[in-house]
Amino acid sequence: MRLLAKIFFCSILALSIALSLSGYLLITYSYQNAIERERERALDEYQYNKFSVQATLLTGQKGLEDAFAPGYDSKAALFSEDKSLVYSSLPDGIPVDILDNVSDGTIYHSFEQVGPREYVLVCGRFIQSGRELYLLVASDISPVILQKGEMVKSFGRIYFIAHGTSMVLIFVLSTLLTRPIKRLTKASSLIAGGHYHKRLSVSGGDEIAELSSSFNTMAAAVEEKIGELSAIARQKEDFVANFAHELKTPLTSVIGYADMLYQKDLSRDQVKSAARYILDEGLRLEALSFKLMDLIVLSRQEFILEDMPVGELMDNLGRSLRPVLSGKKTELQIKTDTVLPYVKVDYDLLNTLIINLVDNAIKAGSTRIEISGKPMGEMYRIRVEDNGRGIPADEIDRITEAFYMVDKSRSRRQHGAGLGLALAQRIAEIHGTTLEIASKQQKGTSVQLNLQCKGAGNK
Amino acid sequence: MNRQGLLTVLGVTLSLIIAFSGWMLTNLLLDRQDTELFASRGGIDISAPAGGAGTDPGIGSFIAGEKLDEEAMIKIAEILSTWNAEGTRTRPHEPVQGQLNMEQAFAAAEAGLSFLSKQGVIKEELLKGGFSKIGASLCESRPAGRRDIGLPPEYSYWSLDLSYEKVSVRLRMNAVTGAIWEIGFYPVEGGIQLTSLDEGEILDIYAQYLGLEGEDPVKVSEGIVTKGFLGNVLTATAIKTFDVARERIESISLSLTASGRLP
Repeated sequence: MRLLAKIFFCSILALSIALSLSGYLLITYSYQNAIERERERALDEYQYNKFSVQATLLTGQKGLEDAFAPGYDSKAALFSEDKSLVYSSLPDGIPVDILDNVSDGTIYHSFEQVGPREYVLVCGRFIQSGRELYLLVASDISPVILQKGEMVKSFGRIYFIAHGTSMVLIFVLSTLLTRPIKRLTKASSLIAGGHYHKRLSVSGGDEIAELSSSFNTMAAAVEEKIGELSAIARQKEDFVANFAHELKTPLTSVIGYADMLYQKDLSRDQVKSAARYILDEGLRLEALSFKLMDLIVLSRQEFILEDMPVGELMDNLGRSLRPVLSGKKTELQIKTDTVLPYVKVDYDLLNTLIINLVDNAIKAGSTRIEISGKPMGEMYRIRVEDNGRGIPADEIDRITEAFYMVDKSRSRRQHGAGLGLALAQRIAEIHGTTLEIASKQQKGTSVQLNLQCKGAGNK
Repeated sequence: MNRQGLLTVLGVTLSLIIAFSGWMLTNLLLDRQDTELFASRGGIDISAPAGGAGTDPGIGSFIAGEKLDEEAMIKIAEILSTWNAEGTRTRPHEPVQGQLNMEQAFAAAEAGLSFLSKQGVIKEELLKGGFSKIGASLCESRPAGRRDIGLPPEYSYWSLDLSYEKVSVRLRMNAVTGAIWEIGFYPVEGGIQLTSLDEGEILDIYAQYLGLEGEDPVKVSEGIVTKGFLGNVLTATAIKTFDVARERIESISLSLTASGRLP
């Protein structure tokens, strides 16, 4: 059942119960009051008539037919001791058998329907001037019954008018109330259909507005997550495509030169040249496979960071970089602040990261590389700066993607696979930081990362 | 039509059925009230029969002309303040223990009238031959809608209408003592002289009848004479109405009222 129909059903149910109950109670209260008033009036009428009959009997100066109380349109009857009729002005059909119920000291009353009219009958027995008499008074209560009928009719009109009006109002209000929910349903369907940008307008501060707001938050989270997943999927696709390409390029050369060696009779120089190509491409494939292995290991393994004094870290880095720089016309400078705290690192990983950055700087034709360290509050910043050819500004964002190379031909020539910075970025993430790369073409590149540190000591 | 649509139509139809059912149920219950009403029977206890003025309600037995003490006057003022109080309903009832029955009430009325006529408040010959038509009812004034409140017997009063040959008398007397606290004389035809006394003299006789004595001054204003007793706790009033054109007295009214300022 639709929500609109449920609201409609519940509202009509509540309205019916409320109206029926209030109508019933109101009419009952009014009716019972009126009946009680009529009963009181009938009892008074009986009493006045009895006094009047008693007074007449006391003087004995007029007939009993004139004895009944003036001022009342009395319908009364007098019966003798043996219940034979003495006088009656009762309408036809009034049951007189109720006299049998009369006992001493009690006035008996009952409600009777005689033809189209209704009466309260009051009867009692009394003794006056030596005569025992029964007096029966009938008081017409038809107007009260009629009035009740009119009240029921009026209530019926009010009941159905109220229901008719309420049904229209409830339908309109239910439609208005459920409209935001319909919009929500529609938006959900659109999002399910791939329209992740769909949002709801939020107005007011009720539960529907809260729900809409929550829905928008959820939709934003879904959109962001879907974006991330899409980016990851795209990166994976790119990775596979790049990997296939990087694998295919050296293999094509290797296969081509191997085929040439197999098929043709070549001179010694030609054989050496072909072997040289096969060796270069083989080395590149080896480097590619090592770095891929490193990336896979970094992605799967849990690393424990240990506290290490910055002074020791920098000294070790300087020592490990010497073989990399040997034979190169590149000057390396390591600078540290006087304050030397402990940093949380996995030394081997950080060493790999710095070697990759220095290797890239060398490949970029740098003549000077500076590695500096400086405490920045609770972090320790390590910066690697070079004066190489730099990176175009529009490529900086993609430089840490696997297999991404700014200058592919130069990179391949240098046995590069485009995995160095991807590896460095992963290591930075393991250290709870990220690579911040700034570069100007033909001026140089600066890469910095912030390591967690604690305490401080002097060099 | 899909399942949801079918359920929706079902819900709306059910709502309409409930609306009609509510109406039918209300009608049924209201009809049942009538059935129950016409099947109901009941008896009302009308208490003990009258036993005459045998109890001491605090205002003593009334003897015309016997002086009332202060306590009795205060009690009379309390009773009178309920007789014509606003928001009360006059209800007739059977005499209860301590109250005069009808015969005793008529006897007390005749005694009172005899006292007043002998003193000249009404000419004696106007009351000769006895009364012919009479009306009598024993009533009490109880708060409207409070049938459950039981008033003491001295708060009731006998209301009597007596018709003599040339004068009608209407009076209200205390249902226990028979003291007349309100009385009016009305000639049945023109040209009948009710009394030869003036209002002040009539008032003095009425006060003497009730046993009221006091130093408060008499106030006279256009045929109405009043006198307060016990610092105006009780006020006796005598009114004579005149037909100026024919120079005859049309009626004489005597009453005792309470000012409502009880000490």
